[in-house]
Amino acid sequence: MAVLQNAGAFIIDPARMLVIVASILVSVGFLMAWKKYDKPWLVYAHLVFVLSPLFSVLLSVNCSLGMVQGLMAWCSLALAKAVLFVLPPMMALSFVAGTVVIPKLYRRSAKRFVSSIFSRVCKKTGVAAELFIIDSARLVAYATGKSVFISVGMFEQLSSKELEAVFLHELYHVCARSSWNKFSGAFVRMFSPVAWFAKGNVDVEEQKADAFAAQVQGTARFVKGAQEKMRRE
Amino acid sequence: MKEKVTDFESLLSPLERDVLCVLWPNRQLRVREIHGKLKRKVAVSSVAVICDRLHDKGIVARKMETARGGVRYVYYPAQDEQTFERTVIEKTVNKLIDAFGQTAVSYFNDRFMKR
Repeated sequence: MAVLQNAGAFIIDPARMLVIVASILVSVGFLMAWKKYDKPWLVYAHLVFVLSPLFSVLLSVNCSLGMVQGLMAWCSLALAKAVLFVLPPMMALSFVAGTVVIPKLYRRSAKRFVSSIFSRVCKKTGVAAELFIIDSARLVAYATGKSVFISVGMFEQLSSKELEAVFLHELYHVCARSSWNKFSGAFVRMFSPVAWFAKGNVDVEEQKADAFAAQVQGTARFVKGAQEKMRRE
Repeated sequence: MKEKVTDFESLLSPLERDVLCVLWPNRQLRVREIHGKLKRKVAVSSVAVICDRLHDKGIVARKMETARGGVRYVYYPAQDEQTFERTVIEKTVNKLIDAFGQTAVSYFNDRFMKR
């Protein structure tokens, strides 16, 4: 039971406990700031502060390797090692998958397209983005990075003004780097138990994108029209 | 009056049947053109959904076409009316034989003998 005793000694050490509590409090602070200011770096700072006490405890357990006796102690050590060695590669893999692989797959599955309406809207807003067509009759539109994806169904069922509203909505997401914000929120929720309780800012982002489209067009009629058609589908 | 396969509501919904009836004689049409030729009053979105459903079922085929700064589908029947009817009959008969085996075969035998 040497390992468990060692871990216990770590936890009851007032100086170390103070650091752990302070670290968790700072992490919660970053989480609340992320909710308010919607800056992705805040959510990563939260992750660093929420995980560092865990890593610190696990490293301390790992240090008492020479004193291990008995099955229980061996199990806790194995678990600690597993978390230490598996968590960072898992985080790295999820990050690469979410930021590089998945957007690439999205672009591969769609076809690049030049649309006069899209080019006009890009020029009007001063946003540089690429348009990709999704081979589907359903009403689908989204943006990742600097790419805007739209289905054939959107061109078939929406009027040109409604299409323009959809493009403006998606260009707002390109400008605000919404896909990066959304990914950061999901990524941190995967690895931080504290972040599970914090709802993302997705709804607020959507409302802002709608407001942007309505502001550029001078009316919310076309945004609402497109939304209504998408809801009815 | 001869009952047509497309009249069976269990095989196709009424709107699916109407869309097919428009597509068969016209060969290649866009959603808005199909919508314009339909006798019943429906939204363009409903026609688009029906065309997509028929495409998923393999009854109609489609190709993407670029026009007026956008893209759209041109739908056309995957089979002519007669071939489609024959395919439906074949599938139905096969299903009945799979489900009821010898009973279905002897029933068809009796039925055709009577004719």
